Amino acid sequence: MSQTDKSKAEKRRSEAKREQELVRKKRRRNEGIGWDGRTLREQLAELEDKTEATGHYAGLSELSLKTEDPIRYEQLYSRLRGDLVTAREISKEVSATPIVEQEGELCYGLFTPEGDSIAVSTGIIVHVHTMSEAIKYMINHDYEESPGIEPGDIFINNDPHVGDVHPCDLMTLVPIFHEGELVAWAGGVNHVIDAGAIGPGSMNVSQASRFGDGAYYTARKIGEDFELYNSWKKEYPAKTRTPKFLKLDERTRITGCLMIRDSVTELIERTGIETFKRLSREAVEDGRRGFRNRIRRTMLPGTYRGVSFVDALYEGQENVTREYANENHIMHAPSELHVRENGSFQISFEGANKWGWHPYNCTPAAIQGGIWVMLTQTVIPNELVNDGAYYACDFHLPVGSWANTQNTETAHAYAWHFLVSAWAPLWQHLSRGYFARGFWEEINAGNANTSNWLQGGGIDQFDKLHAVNSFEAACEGVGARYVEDGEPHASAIWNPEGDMGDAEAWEQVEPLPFLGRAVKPNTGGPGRRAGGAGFESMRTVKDVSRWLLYEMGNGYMTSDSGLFGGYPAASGYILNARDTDLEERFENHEDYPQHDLDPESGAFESKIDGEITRRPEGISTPKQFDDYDMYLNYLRGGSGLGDPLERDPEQVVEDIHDGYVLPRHASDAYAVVVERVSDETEHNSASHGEWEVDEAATDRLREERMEERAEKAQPVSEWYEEQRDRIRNEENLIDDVKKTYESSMRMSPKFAEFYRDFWDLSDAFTFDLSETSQQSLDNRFDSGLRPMWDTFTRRHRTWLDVDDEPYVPYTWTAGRSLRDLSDPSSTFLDAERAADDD
Amino acid sequence: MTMILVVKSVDQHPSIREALGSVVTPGETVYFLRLPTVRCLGPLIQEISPMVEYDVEYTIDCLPEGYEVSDVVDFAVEVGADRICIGIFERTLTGKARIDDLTQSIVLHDHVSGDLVVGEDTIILENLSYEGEE
Repeated sequence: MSQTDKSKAEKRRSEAKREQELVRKKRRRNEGIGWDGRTLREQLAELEDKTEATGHYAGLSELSLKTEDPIRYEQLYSRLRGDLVTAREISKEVSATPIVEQEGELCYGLFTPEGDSIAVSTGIIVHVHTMSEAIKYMINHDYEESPGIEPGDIFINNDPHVGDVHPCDLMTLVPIFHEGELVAWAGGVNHVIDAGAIGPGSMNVSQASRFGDGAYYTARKIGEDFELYNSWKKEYPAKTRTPKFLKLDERTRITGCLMIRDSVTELIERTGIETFKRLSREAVEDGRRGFRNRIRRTMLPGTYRGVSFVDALYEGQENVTREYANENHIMHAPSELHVRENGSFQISFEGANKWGWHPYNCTPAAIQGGIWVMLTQTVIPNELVNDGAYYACDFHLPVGSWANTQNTETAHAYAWHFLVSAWAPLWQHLSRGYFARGFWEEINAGNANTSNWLQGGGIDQFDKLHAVNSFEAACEGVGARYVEDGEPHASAIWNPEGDMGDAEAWEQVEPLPFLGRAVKPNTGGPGRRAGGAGFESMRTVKDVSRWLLYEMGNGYMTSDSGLFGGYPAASGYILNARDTDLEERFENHEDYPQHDLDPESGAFESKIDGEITRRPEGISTPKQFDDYDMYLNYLRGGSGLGDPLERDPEQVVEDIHDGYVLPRHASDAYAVVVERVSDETEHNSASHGEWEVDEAATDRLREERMEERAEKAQPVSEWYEEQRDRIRNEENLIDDVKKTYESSMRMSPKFAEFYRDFWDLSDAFTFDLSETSQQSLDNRFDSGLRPMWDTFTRRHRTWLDVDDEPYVPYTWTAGRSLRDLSDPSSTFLDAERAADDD
Repeated sequence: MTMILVVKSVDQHPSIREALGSVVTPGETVYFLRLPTVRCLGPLIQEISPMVEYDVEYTIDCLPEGYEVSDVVDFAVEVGADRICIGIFERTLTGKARIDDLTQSIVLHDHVSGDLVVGEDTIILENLSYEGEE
């Protein structure tokens, strides 16, 4: 530690000591650490009461600081936000994992004493709200009394039921005091490389319950006087396969939190405590108003409906921790977005099916946090991202469903698999609103589940126990926009600053040398505007023992459906090879597979001998790999927008040259006939040579394709009759599909009523399930609830099953139509901007 | 109008509900004054939601261990309280409210006077005037 750092640390500790004395004096006067002698819980209760009673955050009907001196307000807010970004950029260099250092899976937030985020850094801003929940959990469970919240304390949390997406996101929280009052919290989160689960890696897939998820640290105090407890320092390294990485990750988070604390302290010294308090309150209210204003400006009121699915197939998988978990799952996410006339915004997942014995279950913090990531990239694409938006929205998350298990037995290691898939229709809801209001540049076909997660571990190239979690997945194809194609191999929606990372950086921490890395053709969804293509890395394994690897992504199903006639992105598949002759090929200078650019070409199989697994599924449980085995890390593309037959044929040729489309796919998907006019040109892509459009042949093919469509088309009434008979007679319906709908009907009487009404089924209709499926549902429905929170916050009532839940305008009824909206000609009229008294 | 609600216990919901529901008028300011026997009013505020349910502005204050009755009276003077409400925690066999030491001390305090009203769960000292006032 340098002399400057030492004196800074000493100054910080002496300030903490002085502050602790003030806090203890207040306590002797029976005062709390909140403002004006309140306890934190009193302060939170009062804040929620005022907010709900007035419709304004903390009852702020006027933003006096902002109104009286808007430039100063913006300067102060920008300073705070800038310091958060600085904290992130500097502290991420402390970490040793490419997850943080290369991909930036790190985020900081500054929170009010009650846990509402005032400002957040760049990065994985899913945690704009998860840390908020963790702070509120501590407040509502009287942490002020025990273990106590004092200056210099350090807390950690990774419990999704408290406030997190999944346990591999570890968060550090540091309270900031001024003259004996808690004035704010600094918080930081990063994704760690190994969570100590039953399988190696940060998001294991083979566990049936949380007891296989890894270590849960439930909002724990782990240090005081800015020093970690020895008990903590001795505990957590033993609970992970990668202790050194986690130690540096923790230093990263603490570094950032201390930088934020220093920044707040300096701001208070310069401007006074009252200004800081006012700023923190006004920033949240400003965020709430900003969100509503944008909704009112860009959307039309009404109800937007959609649905998404994703598969998680476990039947026949090895190493699943419980036999009863050896079954297939399909996530069902009926989604509704209600935009009310006042610009408020409700997201409802009524009809979601039951949670399962898999690690893809979600908690409200996960869903809300996940949806924030999405909203910040479309509704609020600016620096004013904070919990104001949380106060402008409400979420209806049925208790007991995969979206809100309220059961501490459920596993959550990769909640993203379901939640990212579930938000696909939300992009489309927003896009339809934007379209209606003429905001075409904002329209996006959707960004959903584009990942594969290369994970595993064992004894690595340094003869050490190790785990890997490749974040190449932070760089995938994104959805097409209305005015442009989706960006290819660009980012992942859960990490807006995504990057695939340098191959060399990954090779330093993963015994998995790269054999090739390339754009993956045919992975972006076809459309007038094409979805961005994904990419792939071909990896081998070197210098390991007892090494496990596994896959995790969507398989048969794509959760993104495409928009306005666009097609979904390509689905997933698994490709690996074990017991190969790769070493001999190296020694003999023979050709070997570097890619799998055209999975149907047989090229991969022709260049390697071994036990090859190629199957159209996305998930596999950990299995052993040895030296020279091979693994394809395939990152998916985004969905398309508009009819592919309307795509300019010249753009399709460019797609071929860029490696986004194979020539035969040009004909299949776009009805564009191309011919190779030169073999000489080399593109950095799957297809070599120069290609040109055969315009006459293309015109003919497009005409034929339109005729085929007309021939295949049938009136909806006929299609409806056919499908109804299929459901009534349960023909051609696999058990997994029937189990999914049966589960949703059991979860939601409203959904059951809609489903039976829509398909004209009897009131007693249920699907005839296999004994195993029946037992699986009974088993899960009989598990009941095991909630983590003893005392919920008022805002939780938006998803809790309580009698006085805010009205949910449920539209999944056969009889409801647009005519039922409160105003048939519903618009925001001339109320383009929310007024101060909104 | 301004009212002080003296809180002796976190289980004092009935008396607070009675005071807020039958005595206080919407828009009135209420001071919750917790005694040292109560460390935190958070659960009670969460349960009652005074602003949402009773439309009152309020603050929360506390008295330290070893406080004296004069501290309550000084507080009442400071905020210009028109009423002080104290919960009824015990009744006699015949159903009469038992006036505890604190209530008695306030009622008998030299510097404060008012009308004593006994409700179902609350004793209210209202129309307060203080020594030296007109």
